[in-house]
Amino acid sequence: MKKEKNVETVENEQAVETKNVAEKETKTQSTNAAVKSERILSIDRFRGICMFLMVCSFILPFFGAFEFLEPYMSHANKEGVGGFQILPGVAFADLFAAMFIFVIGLTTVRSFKSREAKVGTKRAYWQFALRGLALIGVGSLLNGLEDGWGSMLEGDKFQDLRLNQKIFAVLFVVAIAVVLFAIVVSFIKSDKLHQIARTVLVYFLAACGLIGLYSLCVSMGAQYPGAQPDKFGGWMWDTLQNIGLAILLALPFVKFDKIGKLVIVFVTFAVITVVEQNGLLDYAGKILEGGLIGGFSWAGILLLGSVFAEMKGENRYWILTSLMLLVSVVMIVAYDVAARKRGATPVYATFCASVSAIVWGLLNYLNNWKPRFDFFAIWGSNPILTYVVNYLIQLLAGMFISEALFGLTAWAAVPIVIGLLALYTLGNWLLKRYNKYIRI
Amino acid sequence: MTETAILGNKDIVRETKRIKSIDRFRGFCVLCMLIFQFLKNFKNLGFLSKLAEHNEANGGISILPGMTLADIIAPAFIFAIGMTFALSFTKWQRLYGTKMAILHYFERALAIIGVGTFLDVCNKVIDTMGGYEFNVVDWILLSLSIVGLLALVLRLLALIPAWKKKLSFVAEQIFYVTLSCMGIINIVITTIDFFAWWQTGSQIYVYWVTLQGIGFAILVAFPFVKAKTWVKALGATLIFIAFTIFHQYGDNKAWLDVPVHGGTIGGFGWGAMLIFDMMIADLYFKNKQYALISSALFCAVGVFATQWLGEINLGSASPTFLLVGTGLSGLIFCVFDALDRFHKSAFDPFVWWGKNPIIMFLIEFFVIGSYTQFMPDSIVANAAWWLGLIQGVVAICLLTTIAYLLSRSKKSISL
Repeated sequence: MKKEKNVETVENEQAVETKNVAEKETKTQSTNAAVKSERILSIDRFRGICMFLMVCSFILPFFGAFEFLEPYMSHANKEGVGGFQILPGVAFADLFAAMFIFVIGLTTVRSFKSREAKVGTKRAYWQFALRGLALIGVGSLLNGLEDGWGSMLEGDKFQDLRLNQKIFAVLFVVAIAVVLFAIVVSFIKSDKLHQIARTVLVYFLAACGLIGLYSLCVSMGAQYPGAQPDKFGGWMWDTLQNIGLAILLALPFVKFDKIGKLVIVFVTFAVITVVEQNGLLDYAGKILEGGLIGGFSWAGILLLGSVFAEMKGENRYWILTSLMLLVSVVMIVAYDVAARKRGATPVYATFCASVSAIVWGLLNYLNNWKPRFDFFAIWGSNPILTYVVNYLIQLLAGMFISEALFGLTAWAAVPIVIGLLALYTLGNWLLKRYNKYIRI
Repeated sequence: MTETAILGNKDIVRETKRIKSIDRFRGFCVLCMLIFQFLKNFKNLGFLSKLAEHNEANGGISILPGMTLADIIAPAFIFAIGMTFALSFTKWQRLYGTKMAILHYFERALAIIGVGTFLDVCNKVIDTMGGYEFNVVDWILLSLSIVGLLALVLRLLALIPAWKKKLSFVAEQIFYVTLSCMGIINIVITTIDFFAWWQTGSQIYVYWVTLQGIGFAILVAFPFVKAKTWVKALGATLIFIAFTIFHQYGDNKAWLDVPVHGGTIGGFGWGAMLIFDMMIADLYFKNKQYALISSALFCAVGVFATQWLGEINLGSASPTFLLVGTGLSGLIFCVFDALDRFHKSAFDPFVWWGKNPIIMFLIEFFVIGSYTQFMPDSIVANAAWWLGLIQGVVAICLLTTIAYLLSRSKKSISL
């Protein structure tokens, strides 16, 4: 009897323990889920703000009625002149590209770790490298459409195009075929085929990215040290390529701890500042976002974003933010260290990263506020698709109706802009609602 | 009042222990103020002779646009006051009640202005040798100075154990009331000076230097001494905005640049700075890291604002100067605070310097001032660098010894 009782007690204890463990696990899981969703919310909102402002800065200049906003949508040129300057050499519009890369940095470590847990470290590195190359590829293909096919629509012949324009104009057609193949395959109920179509698409884009990167290196080499005849084909470099390059350059350091990343970033920044202050800035400023040289600064912003993501909720987050802001502002304002988006100087990168950290830090305080219609979170849910659609709309509008749009009165322009923005919002909302996310 | 008599309970002992880094920081400010000023007299000392120079054109060591190294000392001293103001007021309130504490601190602020006025009177007396003629206000202030000096002598005599305590109290009151009267008169005449300059382009009395600016800032900040942190932030911001509008409007900046530190009007800017400092102090006592964050942000915003609000200008107490002054002082203090954990030795000269700042000011003014005034140029102004350096080292050692003796003595005369 006593033995039975003991067994019963032990069983009860075990049951209680199991229950406690289960409760603890559930609690931990729910806490983790809460933390995860909370962090995604503030990141999504921040990304949404960047996307919304980027789309506005693309659309509004088409309308003469919004000409008064031009200073706020214009970037500073390579001499640091132009736009509404918030610091010498830095226009208000120059902040948002850096902010977007900072947002990518916020999710990079989390994304890498989850990928690593699923497929292992080596494969995670490989997939991230492919992602970076694919982004360069998408950007280059869009340039192939704009510079290649756009020029031919305006009367140029294929043989008149530069070599890299020819390559990407042709590859753009191949890309359409690959995308169509992927779309057709998506209607067939076969996971294997889906996988093949996806792999073909990603590797194709990565191959285009590799060509784009090669094109960049050759162009930069051909033009160093001064202006020389454009033998190979000049620049084909834009925002997406820049983001892809930043991911590639940041990738080797993604598993470093916070201190390691900060040391890498600031040592790199110090070296680039010295060389840019001593003449390299002119060269780096020739190409959008500084090309390969600027890429190191953009990668720095991305890594800083990942550092801040790890520091979320700590006092050190604000210490680092305030010190970075102080150092960058003092260097730019008091010591005339050149700050340029074009050329992506390290002080510009540091300043933008600190402003981004302030914005994200403040957005984090709103994480408990969860409205049903979260405007900026909706805008931030599908950035690649939004960017590509926006690029195409901008391209088509620029080619066919730019003059007509510019001549519209405010009464006509305002409803059109609101309508367009509403369409973007609706598209993003529908995709978010049905959990459709376009990722590379 | 002896320090040991005041420090009756453990809480106060803990408070005093906790703010050792503030004492050290204050001492550093006082030492810099006095030694920089002394070294300024030796023209062959290279950059050392430029440490006290406020004007970049005269070789002042520029650290930020419009700001020299010497410009940070006064805001840093104000910051040191801001760090302990609320704590010290609370201590008085606990010991003597709210009314007495208010009266004491109000009198103290006026007395600081009074001491500054007294030093100016002394300068004017010296100027009479060069032909300066006293006006009515000069005579009144001189008379009050003499009364104040007599009261000081009585207070010194009160240190003798046989002296009656009641008479000591009377001497102390005479001393305070005299200095306060001088302070009030100074505020009035400096305000008159400001408007006189506005109307006629020249000042009449010219009685405003560093101590007056500090005393006036304490008066402006006084209503916020017990306020909550957010009230301090709001109050300081409102005063700062009002002052900024005034500063930026028309030629006001040029007018404010005439009296030292912007005179009484500029004093409102310094007052806003002191309230910001008190706010940072509140944050510091909540969490040390908050002080670092807020100081860095103040400094960054100040430098950032130079693009629209103009250069950092001590003379007119420009808005950018107020922000940078607050932030940079906070950052320097944070360095002291961070180094605090490494300081284990009893040899702590900065603490000695920080304990009796007003007395150190007076000693420097009379002893070192007289020395540089009356010694021949071959010994001071035209002295070789090595001779200047020797005198500088001797002055530091001498003043540090005095500071040490004063800090060791349990009996002190304080404002």
